Amino acid sequence: MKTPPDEHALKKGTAELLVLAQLEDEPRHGYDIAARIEARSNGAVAFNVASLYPILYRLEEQGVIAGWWVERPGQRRRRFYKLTTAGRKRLVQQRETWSAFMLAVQRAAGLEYA
Amino acid sequence: MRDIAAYVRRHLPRGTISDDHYDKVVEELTDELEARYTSSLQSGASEADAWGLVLAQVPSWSALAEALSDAAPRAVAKPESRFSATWLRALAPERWLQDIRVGLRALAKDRVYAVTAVLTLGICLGGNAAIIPAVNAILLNPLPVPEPERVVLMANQYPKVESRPGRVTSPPDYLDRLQSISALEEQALYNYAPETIDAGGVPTRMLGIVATPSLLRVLRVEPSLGRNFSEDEGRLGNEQRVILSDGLWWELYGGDPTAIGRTLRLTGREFTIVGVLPRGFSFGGNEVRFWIPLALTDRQRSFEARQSNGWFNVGRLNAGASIEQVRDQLKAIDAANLDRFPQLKPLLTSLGFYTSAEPLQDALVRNVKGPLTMLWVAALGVLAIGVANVGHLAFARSRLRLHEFATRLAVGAKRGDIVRQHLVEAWLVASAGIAAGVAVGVWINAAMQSSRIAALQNAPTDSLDAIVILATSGLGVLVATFIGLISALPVLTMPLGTMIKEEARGARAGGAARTVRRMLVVAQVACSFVLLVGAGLLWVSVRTLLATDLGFRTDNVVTGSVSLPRQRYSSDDDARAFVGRSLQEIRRLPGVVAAGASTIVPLSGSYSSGPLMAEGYVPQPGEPPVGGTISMVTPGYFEATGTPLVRGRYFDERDTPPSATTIVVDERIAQKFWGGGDPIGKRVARLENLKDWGNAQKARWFTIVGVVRHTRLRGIEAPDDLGNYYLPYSVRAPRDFGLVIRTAVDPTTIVGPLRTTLASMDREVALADVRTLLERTELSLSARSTTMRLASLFAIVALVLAAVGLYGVLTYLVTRRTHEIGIRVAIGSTPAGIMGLVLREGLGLALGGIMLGVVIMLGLGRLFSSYLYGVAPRDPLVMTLVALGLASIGLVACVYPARRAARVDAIQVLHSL
Repeated sequence: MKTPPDEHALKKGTAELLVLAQLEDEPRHGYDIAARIEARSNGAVAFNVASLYPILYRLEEQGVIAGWWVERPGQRRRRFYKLTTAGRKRLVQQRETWSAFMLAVQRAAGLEYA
Repeated sequence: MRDIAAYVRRHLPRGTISDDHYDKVVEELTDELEARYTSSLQSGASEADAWGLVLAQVPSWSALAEALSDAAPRAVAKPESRFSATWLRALAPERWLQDIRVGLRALAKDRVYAVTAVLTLGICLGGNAAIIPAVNAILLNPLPVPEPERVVLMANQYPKVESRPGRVTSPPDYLDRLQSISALEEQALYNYAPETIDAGGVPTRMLGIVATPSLLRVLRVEPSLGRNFSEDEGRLGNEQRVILSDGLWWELYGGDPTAIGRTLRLTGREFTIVGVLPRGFSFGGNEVRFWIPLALTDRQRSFEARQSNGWFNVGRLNAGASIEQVRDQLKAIDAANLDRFPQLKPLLTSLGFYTSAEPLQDALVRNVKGPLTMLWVAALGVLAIGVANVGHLAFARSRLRLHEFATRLAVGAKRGDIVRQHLVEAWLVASAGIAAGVAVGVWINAAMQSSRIAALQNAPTDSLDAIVILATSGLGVLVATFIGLISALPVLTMPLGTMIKEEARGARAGGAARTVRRMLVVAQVACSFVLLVGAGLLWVSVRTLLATDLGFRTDNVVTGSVSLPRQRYSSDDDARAFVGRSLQEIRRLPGVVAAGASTIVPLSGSYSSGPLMAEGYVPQPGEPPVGGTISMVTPGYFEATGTPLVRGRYFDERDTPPSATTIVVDERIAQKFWGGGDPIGKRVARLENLKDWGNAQKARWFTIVGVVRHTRLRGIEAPDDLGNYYLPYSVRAPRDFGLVIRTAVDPTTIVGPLRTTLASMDREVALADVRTLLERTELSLSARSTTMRLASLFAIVALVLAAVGLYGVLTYLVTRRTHEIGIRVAIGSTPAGIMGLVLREGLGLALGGIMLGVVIMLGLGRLFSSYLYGVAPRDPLVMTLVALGLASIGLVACVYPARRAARVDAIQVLHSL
């Protein structure tokens, strides 16, 4: 599903938050993360491989998530990601930030509280 | 089943991803794509659709590869030639250019800030730029020769009669040391030699150095053209050679290399040019324009010459030798000489004689080092104050743009990029500030040229501009980096959430930040207090010095020096005749009240001294001999200088024959020998022959005919330990003397007629160094008055900056506390009450600064005292005046913010809560 251009910037900004949120309960692998985001947003936000993986790798680089390979017999090995302690902090921060931001935007743009 | 792994491998460019990482990436992507493919098939899509979905996952493989290496730089292989690593990408020129464009635009929008910052930095950097050439020449590089710390100055010291260390010695002492000091690999003897040179048809007096050929070797300097003097040319008969300074070579010969070998007339004698000194090299001061070889006469080598202490003896330490060894060897020579000349022993012991050795560069800058360091500290202090102001401005400005940063960060910009933009903007401001600073510095320096500080610089001024630019730029870049980082502080440290909250509510500055700001202002005020008091004290010192009674009158007197060519005035009679006739002619000039000649031009800094014996006076054992400065004067001298007569008479025609045996002494000498009694008619003897010291029969006796007031002939600040005595000029008729002429009108009006008169009597006799006594007085204080003027300049700049800082802080605080003020107004506070609140805060800061300044002055005052004269560093009057002045300016700075606070609309404030 193609994302319209105006929403592109928004998506970029919220990407981190979305990804981290999916890892809150348990570790997941890439495809799983993308699938959950699409499902929980009712299809409004969809990440393709080209969008998701750079974010995953960046978060891993920053030490916010940690990745490791899991070997299952008879299957190709698969990479899972989990939240680190720093990651949990970052998630809390991001949630705060976005709530406040959205509140401010609402006020400024005269939106109704949904 | 499609081979997705092969598909990925085929399409994902290796680009800059390292090999093992590449494999992992391929593995992970393959896994993901396979999962999507499979799940798509499972939910019923056709093979074509499922594959279409896979294809849609990666619209651009090259973009993906770039994004991957961006995201995980550690996985990136070492770049061969392109900027591929993120950090190298950050250095990419396109980003910097963009930052510069963005920065310029931002500054253009905020012109007030830009102009304020550039002006402030320009002035503060300018102060430093002005000092840098002097700092370089005096503190860092006073002797620009190889290994300057190994060049040593040896001098005779007589601590019991001289309050300040001497720097000179005599030729026989030099010869002794040449033989016996093994710690020095090479030694030289030199002195200053004024000569008259024909420069474009005008006989001009110029200063040169007469030195043994070894001097250039001691300094390890080679002429840039031609050669150094040979040892042979250091002997009588061969010494009429000359080496020119680069500047003189250009002036006289336009840089023509064929100047070597030509002859130049120096005061009537022909000298052959053998070399030219390198450009940028000068020794003995900027005024030295030529070097001639020193050929010692027999008289100069003789025992008698041991009393002509007017020469400079330097040497270079041997490799591995130390200055301590030189001092030990000097001690040995002194001891040996006391045994060789037992008749000198009592005299020398009573004088406390010994020979000192110190590095030449220390001796050169001893007097100026202190004031210069003080000025440099002041300049840096002013810079610190200015930087604090600009930093605060930049910081406040940055906080106003928080929303902009928050938005950018939220949509994915990196903090590093924003910080980089701040730095670039700060550097842009700094470049303009540096340019302004260099201009200001050069201007100040040009105004400083005439002072002694400038004259001490052993390098011509044009070569210093590069150093000025470099040093100022260095300072500017440092300062700018600091300002850039400070202004980027909120971006660096604040989490995004706080940034948005700050903006949304627009109030509540951090308590810590407010305190820091307040402390900064207090520090600024304290700094300006210290600087103002310092400048004030210097001002008082200079005034006190100028008002010092020198003992003679300095108004309406013009002086100049004359040098009679030795060849044509070989007999004393010729000289006497010339002097007599010329004074006669000069007295006939309209406006001349009195005229005389003397071997010492008052306030010229030169002097000659020697001990006196008084008939019938028996010195205590170990008592140092009574010494005095000697002037040989013609009749008319005392009247011209206005030296008051205490007893007896001045010199007149009776004292003009060569056989005259009269002498005039000053009150000090009279007091020393005869207490309150009448010295007229008593006799004193000069030290004519060293070996006859103490032998009353061999002495040459002079009868006292007059006693005059003591005068400070050497100048206001020169040591004043000795009395003065005056012999008739005709006793020895020296060929070098000074003219002193008192006029009824403005003394500068007779300079022309004076020159004409002299020229009409002898064309080759030029009048040099023409100055009025008032000019000489000011000149002798020029180092001090320049220091004072610079210090005052810094102090005023500091004051303005501190006032601006105070104003800035108060405005900021008022803005931050708008809510509080609104509430106060709402519950009944009057505008006057609000104003009072703000004024109290501002004055509190100012007073805090003043008190801190007072504490600092009380504590550090001792450091200043050696630069002051006639006033203590803790002078209460100066400090009180400065405190009052600062407080008033502080008050003025607070007025505007206070009024703004009073105008806060309570209703608006309440609405915004």
